[in-house]
Amino acid sequence: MGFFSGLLDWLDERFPIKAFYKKHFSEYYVPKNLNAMYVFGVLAMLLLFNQLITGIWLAMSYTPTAAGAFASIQYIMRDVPYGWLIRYMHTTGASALFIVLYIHVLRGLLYGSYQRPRELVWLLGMTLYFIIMIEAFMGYLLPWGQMSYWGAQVITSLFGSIPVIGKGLEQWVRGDYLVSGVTLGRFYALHIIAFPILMGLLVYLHLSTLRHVGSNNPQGIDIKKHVNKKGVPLDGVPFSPYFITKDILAIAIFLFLFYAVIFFFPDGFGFILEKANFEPANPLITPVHIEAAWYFSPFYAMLRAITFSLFGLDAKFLGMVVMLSSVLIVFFVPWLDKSPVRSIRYKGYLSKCFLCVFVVSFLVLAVMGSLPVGKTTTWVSQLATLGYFSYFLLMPWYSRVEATKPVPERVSP
Amino acid sequence: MEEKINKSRRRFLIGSTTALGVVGGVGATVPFLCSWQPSDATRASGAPVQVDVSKLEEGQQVTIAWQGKPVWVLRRTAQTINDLPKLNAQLVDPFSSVDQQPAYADNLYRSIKPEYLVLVGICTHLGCSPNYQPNSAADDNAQWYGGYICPCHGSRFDLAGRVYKHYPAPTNLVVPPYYFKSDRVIVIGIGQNAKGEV
Amino acid sequence: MRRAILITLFSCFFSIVAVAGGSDQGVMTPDFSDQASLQRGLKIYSNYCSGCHQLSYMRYKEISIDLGIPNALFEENLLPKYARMGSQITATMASVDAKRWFGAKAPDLTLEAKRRSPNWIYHYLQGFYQDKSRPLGVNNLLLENVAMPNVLEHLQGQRLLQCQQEEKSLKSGHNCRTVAGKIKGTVSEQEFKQIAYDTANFLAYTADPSRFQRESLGLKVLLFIALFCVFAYLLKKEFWRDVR
Repeated sequence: MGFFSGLLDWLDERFPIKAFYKKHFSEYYVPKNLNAMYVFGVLAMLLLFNQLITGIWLAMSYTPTAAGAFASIQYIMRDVPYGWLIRYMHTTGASALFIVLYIHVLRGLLYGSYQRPRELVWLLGMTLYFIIMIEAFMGYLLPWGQMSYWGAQVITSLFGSIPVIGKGLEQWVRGDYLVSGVTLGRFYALHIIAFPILMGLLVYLHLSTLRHVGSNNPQGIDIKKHVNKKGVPLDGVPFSPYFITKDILAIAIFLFLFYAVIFFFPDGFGFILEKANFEPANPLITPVHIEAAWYFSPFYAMLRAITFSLFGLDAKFLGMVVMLSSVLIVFFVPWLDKSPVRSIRYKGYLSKCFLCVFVVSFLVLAVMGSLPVGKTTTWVSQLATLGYFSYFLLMPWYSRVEATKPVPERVSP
Repeated sequence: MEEKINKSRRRFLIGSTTALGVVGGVGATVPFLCSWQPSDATRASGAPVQVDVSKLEEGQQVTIAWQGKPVWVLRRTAQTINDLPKLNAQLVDPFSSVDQQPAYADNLYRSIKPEYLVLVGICTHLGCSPNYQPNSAADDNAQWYGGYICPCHGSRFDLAGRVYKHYPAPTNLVVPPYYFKSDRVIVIGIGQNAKGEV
Repeated sequence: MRRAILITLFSCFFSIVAVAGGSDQGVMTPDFSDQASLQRGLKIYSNYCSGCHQLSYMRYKEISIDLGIPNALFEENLLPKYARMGSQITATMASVDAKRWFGAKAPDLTLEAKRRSPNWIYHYLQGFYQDKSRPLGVNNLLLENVAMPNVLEHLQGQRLLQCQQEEKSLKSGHNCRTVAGKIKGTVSEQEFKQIAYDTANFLAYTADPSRFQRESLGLKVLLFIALFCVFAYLLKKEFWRDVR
């Protein structure tokens, strides 16, 4: 005992471990009324860690060349001991990460977690999400299957739709006339080195800004208003042990579901590993039914929904603008929401209706993006795109005019 | 807060959950550690290989790859075979007492048939591959009837792969498992005693 | 209330699964525990397919272990002369020749069951029929203008296409089937179905060889995590008793 406390003191003199533990764990006060929606942040972090470790192990056996990529995946799946497990953890982890992130963002929208003073937390989180989207897109090319190849082909073609500089930009991004081994090489380097470093930095910033302002809660009540003599919030409980034990339980339940998919449904019924991706990339033949990975499906549907030209700009360019702004507009929510209350519980009917419209539109778009193009899917997608954007664009209006309920002073358990 | 805290229950739950967590954490590292084992592709390259020695002239050596390692097959001349016992005084381990060869090659010639020498061509010092120097008269005072000289640190071996004294390599060169499938064909990778079982 | 919704959702889900599973009687489900079937599938692959189609991501050794065929027996009867047990299964026909003879490269079959489905292979093998307009004299219900000859024809016998007239509005192929032609095969219709099943089953295995290890390991891992969940739940509950 003496030895360890001695060692701890020695360390603490040189690096303030004890103060850190106090500040972020034992004396970091979290609202006691957080519900299950609040565990998805820690799950996202767990999954990012999973992606990092399994990614490093995959990189050990993967070959980033057009000739060798597809076969090296099969080498990992068959010849490398436990390679199949490590790869399934990576592929399932990617899909799980997006599920977790979508719920995490929805939680923020529900309880107004983006409002003052948490705007920066929101901006950093959204930037992180945007980076993760690009990371996932580039990682998707690496298996070098038909779906990988043509997905990358379609998305890089979007650069070509930009007026004047488009064509040059498209070739510059690919480094070739079409997506090729050159593109694969640069996507690989960015996927395994550049973006992970960027993501690490953003996770750190997202977390440290959050720790500075403290967590919001389902009632949107500021717990720092009511403190005891020592300055401890009356409605807060220390992160350790209460939220440590809660997060451990959440992680345990999550891991059960996660490994159930990995061990028993690793293909995810064609959603995690698409059928067409079991065929090596062939630049001469496009598969009949090409679709985006499910987690990009809503955005892909919006891209396809724009079938008309406007203001002298062609549909292809407009589609890209709509798709890009559908992600970018979420960044501005802290300034679009004019409501005096944070949580949806005290907002009016209009806010509730528009949030419903938003969620339904998003889900409908996800389904539309995975169906083949047709007349019906196009107009349904157009309608859902309108629904998606109306939530954001009309927010300054409906959040101001609606009647809100009074927010209680103290949280109720 | 009115209820009394049951400290021992708490301690038990913390202990058991932590213990399970540690077991789970260690278990999770197993696949990652195991995946560093040689893959099936590597193991396939380690499968036994056959060498046809019928075309080998006296004094000629061929190098083949087994497990990715260089393996030498040398057809020794009668002169070489006669010279081997003369060297004993200069060698670290002339009678092969260190276990660097299968039992069936544990003899003066370090081979099944005196005429054919089979060796793993990797220096027992730090893993370089020595060069075959059948005749070159060495410039020092040691008796030299031809052998192997390692380019990295100068270790010397005779034509039975036995190491000379006063050089860095500690032991004789390794004799891999092998057997004669016929008079002409040597199989490297499976020992004589395992023959017929596979 | 919440419970009621969950129960409704669950029962909906399972009834959909049940309907989907029961509606089409021709659906084949791979059964990896049926080693005899997998071994028969391997035999059919070796005798009829392996000349043109590779299984280039599989190794002979892996098959001999997974299918319970003793090493020596496999080496003697199933291993080609040029190959070793550790080698991958490559075809004897060069792809250049294939392109010249059949107009297309014969696809690698290792992942075919994942790319299409075991069920597709099962029906494809039974879907050949006589078609004089094609260079090889045969066509297929599932793969129009197929470039592969019907290598199992002497087993199955010649089949003829029969389409229902009244439902022409539907897509062609959907309301068509094949019926026995003049030249009979050497096996009965039921036996041929079994042959198609075994082949599809074997190819389902080659597409997913980790499944043997995966499901047995998965069960242990899930049981362990479930146990951990119980302790984590009790621990959380114990601490949160403090919070009112």
